[in-house]
Amino acid sequence: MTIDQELRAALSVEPSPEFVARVRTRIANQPQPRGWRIWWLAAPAAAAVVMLAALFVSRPATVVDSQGVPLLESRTLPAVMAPNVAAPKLQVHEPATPQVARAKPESEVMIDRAEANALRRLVFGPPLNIDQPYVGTTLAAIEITPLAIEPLPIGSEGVRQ
Amino acid sequence: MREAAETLAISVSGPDAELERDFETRLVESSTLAFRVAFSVLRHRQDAEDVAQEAFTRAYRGFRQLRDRNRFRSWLVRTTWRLALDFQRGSRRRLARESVVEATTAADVAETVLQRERARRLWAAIDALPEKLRVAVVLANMQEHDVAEVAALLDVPEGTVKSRLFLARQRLKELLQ
Repeated sequence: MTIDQELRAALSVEPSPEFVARVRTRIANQPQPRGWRIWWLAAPAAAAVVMLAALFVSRPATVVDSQGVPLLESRTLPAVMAPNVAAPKLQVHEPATPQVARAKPESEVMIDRAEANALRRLVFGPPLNIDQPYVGTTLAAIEITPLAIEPLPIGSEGVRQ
Repeated sequence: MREAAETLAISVSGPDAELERDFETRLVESSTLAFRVAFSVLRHRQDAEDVAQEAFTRAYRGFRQLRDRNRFRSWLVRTTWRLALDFQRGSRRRLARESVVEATTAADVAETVLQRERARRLWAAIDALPEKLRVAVVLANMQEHDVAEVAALLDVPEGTVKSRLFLARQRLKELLQ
């Protein structure tokens, strides 16, 4: 009897008849395969990530200096206003994000009323015809009066004035 | 047994039924292979069945992720082998191993002490082989596997299997002389 034959005889063993049934029972008692569990865990995690990303994007960015005072607040731009030339004073639009705390109230800018009106006319007034060439007074039309220089009064020599 | 099969059949209803049927087929056709691989390491029927059972449970859990289903037997053999080795290391204290002669020729009560001694020496020689030679020679003498089948099970080239079998037989001859 060769070694291979001996080994073959030694390995020709059969499992018990209940072996396959026991494997089936054990598998039946197992929880769902890992693939299912991964998906069940991955779905809520993905939803949470999406919500966090949306929250992060919607939050206004605020630059804060070392003392915790906001240096730059992100404000939403005011809506485009219709021309209101007759408005008596400039309007200050509040930022659309009231949750951003201010460090201190801003000081008002003092503008002369005439300048404010001119600015208002410039911004909100009728458009200027800047495409047409400038038509103004010519140099010939300007009348320049000759300068009259009076002679200096000269006293007698050697006389103190 | 019928209840267990029915339980499994109930749990497989649905879109994964085909996958489960595939696994069931492989379980039936590979159960003896897994048991024999475990037995070649442990030489204890009950322990071998426990280890093979554990290997099938792991195979079931990973069956969905197994890309190439044709490599199932290869995966099963390697897993069973590793589990059996781990089990053996964990139960070194078990000295009273089941006799090979009792396992294979239980019907023949006239087995002599000489045969028992030969079997004991054979397994001692196989245990003394390096692991790569050992698993190759065991698989080659199991279920009439040829070199190509052993190569597929071990996921190595056929030439590698041939050289390992040659070296294993040479070592066994030396050890058994």
